[in-house]
Amino acid sequence: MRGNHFPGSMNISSIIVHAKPTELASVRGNLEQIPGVEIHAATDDGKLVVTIESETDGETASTFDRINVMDGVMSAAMVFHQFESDPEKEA
Amino acid sequence: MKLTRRDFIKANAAAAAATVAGITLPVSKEAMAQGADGIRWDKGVCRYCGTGCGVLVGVKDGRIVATQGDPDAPVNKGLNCVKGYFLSKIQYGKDRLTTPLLRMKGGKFDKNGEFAPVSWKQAFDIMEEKCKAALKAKGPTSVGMFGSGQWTIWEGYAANKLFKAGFRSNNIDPNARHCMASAVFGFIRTFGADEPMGVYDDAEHADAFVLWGSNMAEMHPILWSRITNRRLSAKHVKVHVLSTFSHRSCEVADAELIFKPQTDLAILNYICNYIIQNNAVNQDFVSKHVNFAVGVTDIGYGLRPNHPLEQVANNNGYPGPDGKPKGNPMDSKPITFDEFKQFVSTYTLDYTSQLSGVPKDKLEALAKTYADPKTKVTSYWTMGFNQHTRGTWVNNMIYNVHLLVGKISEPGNSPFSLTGQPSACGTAREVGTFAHRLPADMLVANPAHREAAEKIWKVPAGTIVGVPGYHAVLQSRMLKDGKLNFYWTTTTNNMQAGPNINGETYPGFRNPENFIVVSDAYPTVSALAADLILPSAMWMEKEGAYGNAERRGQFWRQQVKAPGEAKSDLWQYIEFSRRFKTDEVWPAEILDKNPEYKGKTLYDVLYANGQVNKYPLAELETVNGHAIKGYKNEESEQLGYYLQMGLFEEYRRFGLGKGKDLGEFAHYHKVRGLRWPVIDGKETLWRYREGYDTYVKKGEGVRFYGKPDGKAVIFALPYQPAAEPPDAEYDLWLCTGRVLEHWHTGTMTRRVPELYRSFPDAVVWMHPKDAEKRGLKRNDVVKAITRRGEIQLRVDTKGRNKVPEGLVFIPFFDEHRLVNKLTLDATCPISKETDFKKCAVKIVKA
Repeated sequence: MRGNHFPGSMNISSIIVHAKPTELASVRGNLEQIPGVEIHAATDDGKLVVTIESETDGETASTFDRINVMDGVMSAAMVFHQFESDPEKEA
Repeated sequence: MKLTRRDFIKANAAAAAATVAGITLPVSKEAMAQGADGIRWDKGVCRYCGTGCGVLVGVKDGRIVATQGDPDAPVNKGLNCVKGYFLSKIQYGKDRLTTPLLRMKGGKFDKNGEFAPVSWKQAFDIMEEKCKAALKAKGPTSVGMFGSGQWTIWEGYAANKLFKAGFRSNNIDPNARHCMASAVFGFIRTFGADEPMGVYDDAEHADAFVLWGSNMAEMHPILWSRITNRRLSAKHVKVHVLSTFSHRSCEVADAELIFKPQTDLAILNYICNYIIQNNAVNQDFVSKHVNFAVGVTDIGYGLRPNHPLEQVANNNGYPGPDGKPKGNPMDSKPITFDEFKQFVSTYTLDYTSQLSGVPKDKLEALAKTYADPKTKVTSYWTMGFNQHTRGTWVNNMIYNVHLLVGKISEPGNSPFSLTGQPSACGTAREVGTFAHRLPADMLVANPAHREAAEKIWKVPAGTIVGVPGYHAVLQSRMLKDGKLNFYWTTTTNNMQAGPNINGETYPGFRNPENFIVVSDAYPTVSALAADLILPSAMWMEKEGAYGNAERRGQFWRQQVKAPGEAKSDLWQYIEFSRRFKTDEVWPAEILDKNPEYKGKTLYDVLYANGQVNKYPLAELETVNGHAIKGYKNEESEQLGYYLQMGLFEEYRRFGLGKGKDLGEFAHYHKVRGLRWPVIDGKETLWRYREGYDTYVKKGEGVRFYGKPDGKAVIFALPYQPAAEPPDAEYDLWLCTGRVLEHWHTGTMTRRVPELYRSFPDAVVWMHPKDAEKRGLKRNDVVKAITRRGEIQLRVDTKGRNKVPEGLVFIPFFDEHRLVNKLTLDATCPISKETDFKKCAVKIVKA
């Protein structure tokens, strides 16, 4: 494989998950089970603001794929991505 | 509590998503504050497809560290697809090319030598030697360039000028030939003017969407999200998907119409027949705005002239036994509405259903959708239509449908040709970098057009040659035949993306008579087959401009420096032009008549012409200071003037007043794009419609002003079979294409670890029954074999693509499994675009 791999690095991404309003609670529950996934906000019409942190470089995309095919999820759209080599530094 | 960078970035990420979702988070203001994190943000454009999403690019310490969907961009309103999401990584693959590399043996160039680093001076020295030798021996037709819809607007413009005016060679063509040449010829033939009349806003107005040979869910995901939003928010909206196999776009579809390859031609004629038989023709619209014609049909398949299919074709335009062209595949003659009615009447529901394999109820429901005057229909298509041996026809035929019912040029009623590359429209088409074109829809074969171009370019009359050059597929054939000897490919990877690599492209590159230069950021298969590799700056390492599929031009500033010795393609063309004197490339008769050009370099004549070098460096700050204080770009710094501004302002003159009006350079640097024609700084949404398009006068309603009489043309064209259907030995259809995670040949996406890992290797999708018949199980390694070559890969019988029996699908992103060793270089004889979707293949266990 060609590409970057930086050990100890951090990928932080955010996505909007659009869940069927009737299944919002179960989608929330399922999302919370995924390592690295955090829910920051939700609307009544089923939109969830979610961040994904991944330790190794293949995880973000597979986590995103997993969310995309989850029951009750109508769509998942990506918004932000940042790659950081030294995430523990103070802000 | 200490806020770690991890917490901080996470808050930032959440805030960005919340903004897009319309939610306010308590932290958002602080986190989103410009520069709070030491990151400089600026607007940019995605590097991949023709959708043209806006992205915000975050730079820290001279490196791109973050990207996000631009919430202010009208195209994507803050969203990204998975590829756009990881844009920050495309420039930082481990194997970036950072120095020119030349094949050498014993310290000098040798076609059979190994690549070794050389200086830029050495690189240009050998290029100069080889280019001049070819020009001297065989003249301008022996030199050529292959570019792409990934050229920035000024790169394509500078290259077009260098070849057509400088070297007097029209052998310059973009890879967009493989991608939307059929769309271009469709537009020109039906409307007399290129590019869609509609805009992406149609997605929020349509009552029905029809996808023809387009898997937007994977290939144009953000535009698709606008369609699914419409579908989910308005209950009456319906989606029809037509394809030769079932894919992700079908998941949202109300109707999935899986047809046998090539029968889209019949389906389109059936729809016209239905509309006529059910008295659904918009008589008022048709009588005012439409002419009818019947096209010639015996047009061949764009194969080499000695192919049996070409020998029996009498309208393929190839030289006949007497040396004269055998007809012209573009020819047509006027007919009446009644003759058209008669022509399509044989495409009955029974016949079409039997031929296409689509159930009657689905065909009828589709036809009704188009026929119903109360339903606003937007049709989208991409490579299923364009990569078609009848690609120009099938584009003409979708317009037939929309024109018969008058569903065109208004919100929601839109036949919309999508593009696959970020500047297929902005550069390849509008700048006219095709072998037959000049900027703003002008043609090299038209003397008035050549004269207009020569005047704007300030070159002597007669400089531009009136004969179209070699198109993409012909370039490969001419390389193999030793007629094209100096060849420069740039911003593209034809050794992987072009058809029939084994038969034409590879022998052409390795022909000892030829010298091949490849400019790229990464060592692609094309680069590795070349003689000289030039390291290119990419994306945010240069100032750029792209034009997307809805006529939107979008600019970005140079954000970071390229690594090592890598230089922009624009810089490469300009530097190379200094190596040639007019006396070496132009004939004596031109110079004798125009002695003031004698002894000048091509750089002097083409770029330091008082127009391109008109804008001083101070303009860099005037135009861009609002975004980056003290802004500079590398090419301008070196040349001492604002190069990109000079090139664009000269280029812009081609389209003014002709319905191709672009805005002013500085304007684009301030806004999220402008859709042309841009009149008095204002963009145009729906073209050809009064009230939207200022080129249509009051009282005219609609005017297709690309045609002298303002009328579009409905063409009577038949169903005809494909060039190489399956037979007893090669018993399956081979269709090729893309997957969501990878863009084209994977030069960029295969260097993003997340994307690579989520789809590392190409597979062949096959129906479970076809697999079983051959004793194959999912994940077995198989050989895919055609008359032209074979590759090994694994079988997949499940997953995102569900192919019908009799057809297999293989994506082309994987450089280790080059599916284009298998494809046939049959083209649409009009557009010269290859049909990558249909040839015969057999699959056996490896």
